[in-house]
Amino acid sequence: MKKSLIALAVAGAMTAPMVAMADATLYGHVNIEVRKDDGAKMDIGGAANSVSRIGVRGTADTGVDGLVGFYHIEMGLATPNGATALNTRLAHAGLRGDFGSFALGTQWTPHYLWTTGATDVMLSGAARVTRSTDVIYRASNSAMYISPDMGGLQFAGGVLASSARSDKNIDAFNVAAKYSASGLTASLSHGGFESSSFALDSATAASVSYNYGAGTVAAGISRNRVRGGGNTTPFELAATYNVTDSTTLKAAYADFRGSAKGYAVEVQHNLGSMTNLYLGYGEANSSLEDMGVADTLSTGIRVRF
Amino acid sequence: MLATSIRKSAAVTSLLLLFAAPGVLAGEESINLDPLEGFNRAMFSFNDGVDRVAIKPLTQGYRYVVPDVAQTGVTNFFSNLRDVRTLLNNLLQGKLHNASEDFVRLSFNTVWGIGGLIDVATPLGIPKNNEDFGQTLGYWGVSSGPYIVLPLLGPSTFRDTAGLVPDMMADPVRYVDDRALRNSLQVVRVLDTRSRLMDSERLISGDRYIFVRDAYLQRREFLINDGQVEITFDETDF
Repeated sequence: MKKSLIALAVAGAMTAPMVAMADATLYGHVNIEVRKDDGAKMDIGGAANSVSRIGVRGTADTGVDGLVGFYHIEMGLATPNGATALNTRLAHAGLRGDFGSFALGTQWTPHYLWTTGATDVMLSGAARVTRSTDVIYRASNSAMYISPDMGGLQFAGGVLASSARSDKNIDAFNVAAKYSASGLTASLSHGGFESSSFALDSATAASVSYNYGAGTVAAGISRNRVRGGGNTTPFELAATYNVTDSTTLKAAYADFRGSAKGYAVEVQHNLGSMTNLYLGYGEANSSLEDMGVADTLSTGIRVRF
Repeated sequence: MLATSIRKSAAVTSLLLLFAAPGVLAGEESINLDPLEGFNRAMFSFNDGVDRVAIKPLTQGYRYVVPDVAQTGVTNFFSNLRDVRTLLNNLLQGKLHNASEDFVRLSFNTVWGIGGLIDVATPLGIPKNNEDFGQTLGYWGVSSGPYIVLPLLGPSTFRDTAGLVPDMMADPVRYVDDRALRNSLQVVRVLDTRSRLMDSERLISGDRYIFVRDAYLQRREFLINDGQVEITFDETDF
């Protein structure tokens, strides 16, 4: 259950009861898994996929009719049982209204959120062998616009600009479109990476997913132009099936590039609405192993709050 | 423990079915199903003798020596191994939902249940299925053929006997490299199977051969139809 907090401090509320208030929701999860990678020792630690996190998000009244301010902060705990490893996953603020939303900061890219994320269905570290289309998840130093839902159709666009990358004013951009209707979602995204600090010149991805009631099926493909020449075309397939009301069976397959391929299966069991147990196995073929991705057996628990 | 009680209730169900519909196998049909009765009775006596002299005393010793909790673990362990066979046969029968349940059971019980010693899947709401290749043949429409009592293996039909070969291929114990371990597992499995029949056999009355034959045939019918058996009652049944 989400815990709604009064964002402005209680002390502030007590001393200035008439002050404007913003709502806030504290959320997050801790996800710890026992993982055994082929050729490595067993590890009990932070999940390799869906890492532990804590976040606060909320809205604030702007005083302008139909215009809402919003913010979102999320910190990741990559290794919660080890040394301090807090990292900023999300930190953005923006305005939302009939026009859609516009935000500045570190935020999800439509490229992942709408397109390559469609096949990211697993909780366990076994998922690593099936993530071939990932290029960029979240963008720091970014400005992002997302249109309102227009009968199932949405557009998004944004740029990334960081003075740390001194060779360009606009380091990267992302434009995307998504259409959803009757359980079917199709999306298309293009990311251009202007700064030479990126390994790719561009990535164009498409995905389609369908919720058939007892689960989902999804497919995604990406056309990546590698900086310095050459193209890769990774693709992914994923499916989920609800075995019972609280148990889901998942499977995914990925073709990385050339002959590198991997598949994974995962079983997730929900204890109530906030606790998930999972068990996953990922198998990488020899070409994928040559790229440093190992077979993985993983089981863990994720508790959300 | 729950898995054991499920199996017991399945056995009781078969026996209840037998009492509820005595006419189903009491007429001409039952005679046709057992044309080898002479051979079968002889083999039944042989098996009964082996059981009385060797298997039952060993099983009683097993039950006396091994703590109940360990017996439950053994039962769960072999039940988990049987889920491999059940999974394959559900796939062969096109029962994909049941196959997914079997896969989940196998995964949970093998990893979280410490190699299958603990049945964690049942309390989590994943039902236990029971399929073998004899049932698969029946599901495909192959008739049972005559009833036959196999040496040491006990009641069967021609169809179920044919199904034993693929079932043996799907038995994980078969693929244990270490011969001593493999044979030990087979012996313990026999003791576990016999142990689970100890309570049920007290219900046997009358002609033991006919009782066991009819119970076996009706249970197979029950399993092949996933419990959807047609029971016809007439006035004399009440």
